[in-house]
Amino acid sequence: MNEASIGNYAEVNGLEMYYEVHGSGEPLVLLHGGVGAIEMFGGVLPLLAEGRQVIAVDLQAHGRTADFDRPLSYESMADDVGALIDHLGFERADVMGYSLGDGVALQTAIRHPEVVRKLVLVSTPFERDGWYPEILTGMGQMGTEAAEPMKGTPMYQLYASIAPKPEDWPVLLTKLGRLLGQDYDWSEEVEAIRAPTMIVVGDADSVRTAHTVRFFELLGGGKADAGWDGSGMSNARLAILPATTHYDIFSSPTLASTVTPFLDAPMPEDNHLVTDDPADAGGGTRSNSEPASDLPSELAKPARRALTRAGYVRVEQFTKLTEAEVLRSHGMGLKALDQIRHALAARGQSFADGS
Amino acid sequence: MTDAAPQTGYAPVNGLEMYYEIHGTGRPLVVLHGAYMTIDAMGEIVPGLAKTRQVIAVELQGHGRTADVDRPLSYEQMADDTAALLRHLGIEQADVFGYSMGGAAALQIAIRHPDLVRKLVAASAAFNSSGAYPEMFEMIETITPELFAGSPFEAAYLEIAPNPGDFPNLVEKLKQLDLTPLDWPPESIQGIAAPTMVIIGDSDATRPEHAVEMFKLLGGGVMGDLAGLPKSQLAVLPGTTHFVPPGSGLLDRAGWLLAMIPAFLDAPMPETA
Repeated sequence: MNEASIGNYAEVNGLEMYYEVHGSGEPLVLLHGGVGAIEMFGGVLPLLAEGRQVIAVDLQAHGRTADFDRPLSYESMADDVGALIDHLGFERADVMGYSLGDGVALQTAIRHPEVVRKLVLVSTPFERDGWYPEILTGMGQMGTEAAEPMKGTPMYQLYASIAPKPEDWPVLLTKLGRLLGQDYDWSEEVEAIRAPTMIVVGDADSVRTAHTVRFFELLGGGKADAGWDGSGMSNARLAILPATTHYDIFSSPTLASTVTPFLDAPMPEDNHLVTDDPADAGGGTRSNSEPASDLPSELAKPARRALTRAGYVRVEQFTKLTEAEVLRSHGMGLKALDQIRHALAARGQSFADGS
Repeated sequence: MTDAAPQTGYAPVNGLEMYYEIHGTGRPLVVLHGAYMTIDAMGEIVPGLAKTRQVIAVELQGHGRTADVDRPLSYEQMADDTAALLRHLGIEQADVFGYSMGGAAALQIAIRHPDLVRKLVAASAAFNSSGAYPEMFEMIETITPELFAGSPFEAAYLEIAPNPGDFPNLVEKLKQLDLTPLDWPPESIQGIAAPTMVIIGDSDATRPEHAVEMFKLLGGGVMGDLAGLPKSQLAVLPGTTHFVPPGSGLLDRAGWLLAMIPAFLDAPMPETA
């Protein structure tokens, strides 16, 4: 593998979010599990990056991403991921998460369907009851009191070696304990997911196997035999890996060889991700409700979306902004900046700082 | 040697002249094909598995080179025939892999001849009729010999069967087998002592719930990180059907199968308590 791994920070929703880019090709956002960091994927990350651009992130309060004054929730972390995809200038990305990161990936597809191409969910239930009762007991014990006992774990050693403020360890555990103690049931939202989705669990995972089958059914799978011509197959995929537990699935090479063919396959044609679903009103139809815009037509969707949200719809507005200010808006990349600079130059104008 | 010509023969078992092939050397593994199939139709599975073990591939009653005899097809009988073949070959214990109809026969070998079976791999198999989607049975009703005209199944049969004119007879007997309600008691599965790997495709003819139920009866469905790994394993292959469309069937996933099956078979036997 080449050494083109670049670590960087993106400002999203007030969070300085750490991410690394590995490999090149179609983007895949990779989300780690609770108390973990990018490192936990070990040998799986380079295998995934062989055929695509993996954007691995450290979620709020995890790894190199410092905590800030906001509770940990699947929803807000999903908003961070959606914003990061915009920030990096991607129209859409594949999203893959494990355990806590799986919940975040799922919420990203629920809350930001327009930025998710394919979804890979590793080892998590769609409702809290999907966990084995034993693990729920363990989750109930997560909190400040666990901070000292857990200092003997490899998870703490990793945290202590990379966290911007290692003394925040008890804060992370407290916030995680609160998150993991909350009941949830996302079955209705799961049924509405349009992105082709693959569920992966181990056969001895912490998620109940029967629950996983139910999850697959909510996504449209497991309802019929494929039929002679395969027409009975849905866009959902289920993979159960043999002799695999919750704590070895994320570093199992089989995970990469299971997920890669799914991500590489062409998008199903009958999947109208954005335009087909009234809940997604936006995407192609949003322009109807926008004020007349003269932004450059070649501007990519994420950049246009970000600027529109921020109230910038006319080129002349940028004469009051510096380049640095424009770049800070997530969704804006150097390419989009160039396009606006050209549009300004064509009118004999420039950014506020003269560039 | 993996590419050496297999040793082939016919064994007189239970009134049947049963055809078998022996590929490779090492610990013995019996391979049982699906309905309408032959050993060759199992594709890369037989040569792939024979790289690391001795594969004893058989052709079941009325299939391939094994001529039919005057008795219905049943999983119990197929199990007894295969068990008799192993005894004929002087093999005291073997691993058994069966696909679809062969998977159900493999389960019956473990139920009826437990001493013969070391480890078991049951692919795309069910132990009761509700294990398959209901529309499967509607589909089976519509099967006629003519439906197979020009198919690889019919072509293989015409080429190698001792009585090529018997193909309509095979179709009729398989329909009878498939339409006979299957209702093995869960206790019979639960009683299987051999460590068992259950495999299905996520769009297989066998429902995922059924595979999970079978896995639980075999000791699965526990949290491995706390309880330790169970003796049995479950594999669901994504984007995988039972047999068609071409290229998407379970047996087409040779890469995955040839990674997980030898790993399962070669793992040490669990300690018997």
